[in-house]
Amino acid sequence: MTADPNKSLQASPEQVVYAKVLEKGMLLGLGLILLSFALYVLGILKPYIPVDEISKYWTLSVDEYLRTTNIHAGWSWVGMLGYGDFLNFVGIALLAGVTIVCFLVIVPVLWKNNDKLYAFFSVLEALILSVAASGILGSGGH
Amino acid sequence: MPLTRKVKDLLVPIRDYAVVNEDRPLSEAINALRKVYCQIEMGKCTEAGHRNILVLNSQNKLVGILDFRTILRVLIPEIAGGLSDRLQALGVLAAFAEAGTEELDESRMSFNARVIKNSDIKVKQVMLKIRGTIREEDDLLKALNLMYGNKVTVLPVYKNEELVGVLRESDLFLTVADITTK
Amino acid sequence: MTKTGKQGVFFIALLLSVILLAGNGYANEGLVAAGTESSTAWWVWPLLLLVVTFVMGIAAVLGGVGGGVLFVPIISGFFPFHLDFVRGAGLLVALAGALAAGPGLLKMNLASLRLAMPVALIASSFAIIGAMIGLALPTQIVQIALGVTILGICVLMLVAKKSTVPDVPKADKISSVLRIYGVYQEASTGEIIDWKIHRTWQGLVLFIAIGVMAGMFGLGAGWANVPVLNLLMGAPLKISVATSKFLLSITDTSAAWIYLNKGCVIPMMVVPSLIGIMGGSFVGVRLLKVAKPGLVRWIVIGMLGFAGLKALTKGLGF
Repeated sequence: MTADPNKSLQASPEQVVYAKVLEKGMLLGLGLILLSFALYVLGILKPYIPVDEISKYWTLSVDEYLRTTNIHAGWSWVGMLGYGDFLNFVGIALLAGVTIVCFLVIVPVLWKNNDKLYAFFSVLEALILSVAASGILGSGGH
Repeated sequence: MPLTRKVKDLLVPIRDYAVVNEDRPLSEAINALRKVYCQIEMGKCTEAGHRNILVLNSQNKLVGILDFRTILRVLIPEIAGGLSDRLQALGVLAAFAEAGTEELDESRMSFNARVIKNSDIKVKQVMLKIRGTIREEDDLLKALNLMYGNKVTVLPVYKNEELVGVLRESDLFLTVADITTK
Repeated sequence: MTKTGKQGVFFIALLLSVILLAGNGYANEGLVAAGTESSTAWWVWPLLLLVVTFVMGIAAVLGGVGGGVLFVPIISGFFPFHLDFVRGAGLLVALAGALAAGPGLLKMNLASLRLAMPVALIASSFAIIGAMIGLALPTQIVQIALGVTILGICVLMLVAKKSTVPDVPKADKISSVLRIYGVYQEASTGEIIDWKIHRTWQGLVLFIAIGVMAGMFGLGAGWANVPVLNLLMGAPLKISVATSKFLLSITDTSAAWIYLNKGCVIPMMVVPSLIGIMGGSFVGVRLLKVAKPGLVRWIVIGMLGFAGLKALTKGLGF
């Protein structure tokens, strides 16, 4: 008699896998943020916007901010990782991206358990999140 | 010289050792372990038996091991668990508290109910990996080096491809310590 | 430290932050627009942010109010940062909290992945739309909408009931097909209870609105997720709370990326806030085990209401 996995107190295999990947990604992301932030505020890695000037910009709307600082939106931060402030984006992107990885990782687990519908859902969700991440949607302006 | 004796002279035969299949729940492993650990003498548990249990897969191959500490880490992670277990429990409690429902958190659940729930997990999800095995023809010096080099307290013993027994740190202890009484 | 001693410290800290905030908030009203050389040292604002979010983290846990719903209103109301950056930071803060709790909730099978996924598909898609709308609308409009929404949330928090084990006579068709059901363990007795849901379609429709709102305002939507899952769809409170928190990690991921790609993330704001809120919630949990001052919830909702009014007045131009 195969027990219905949903009737067990124990988490389903795809849930366990999701949780494990989530945990690792989250810890890595937080660790990287703390590290890069230390490098940033201690001045070990020079930032693009000096720390004593940042307060001039955060009162502006994001459009004015981008214009005044000459920063490009989207994934351009990847090219600016040499700067102390932009290095933080690695950890932040990791935190924002770990869910996408989780959904992709559980697809084979779901498929193997003959749960084709949820495998499809997983792929769809990963796709939705990836579209948001890719920046192709742009985001209008003020 | 005592240290030139072979492993096969000291090992505990596999038939005398507790084993469990990897797909069974932890509660079964605990039961099997208790039977071997406790020799019921006049109604009391005399701790004469072995303190860990070997995990075999369906082909009877050795795939892992469980000891007291590992089992307790699973049963009472909020006490016996490592830092990540305890941080995880805190994170979950924070999630319930922020919804104003901290009374629903598992830590408020009765201790017994929590332990029973935690013991339902499959052995293969929590077992420790085997770090180091030895052959029965090897000498005890090699066994000592392997045991302390890999930081383990038991070494599974093989004859050719077959698991024949277990060598424990306690047996090696007497072999070395007895030298002082000579 | 005694129980009352701890409560006392907390209240003093809370009061101090309120005074500090109000003082600075009003001082900055007079600050000329961008380009002014601020006389305060660069580390003052991040430090203030750290302290305030730390207290916020404690207050969220003790007050039974999500940190994700406190951040945007209070920070945008009392700090000089532009709403664009506050929302970006708010989403990341709510996201981090959900990511931290997620693994535990999933492993313990309190959050249901099967329940979360269809909901998340809806909520995350519409969070993207909400974020895009939120960034396209003029800030004044968003402030007004935020103010109104916050006041609504306060009312909801005061009024909404919770149902520990809702009565679900029959699982509806769609939840049966998707196999959204399970078992969980009653906290006090250890009794094992079956759960199932109904009114799934209505729930999914509501999650459209929840997604849009989360994306538009950068708020963590726990206060909305739980009533919909629990009161409307009939999931047990325990499963609803856990699944709601997990759901946030998906909804906020999609919205966060929109804000991130737009440039609304300033590390000097985000990181101290992250550290503050997470530190505060861990301390809050410790305090929770000792004593739970019932007054905290009232204070927190009060502050939230005050922040909502401030957002409204900011938007209306007073």
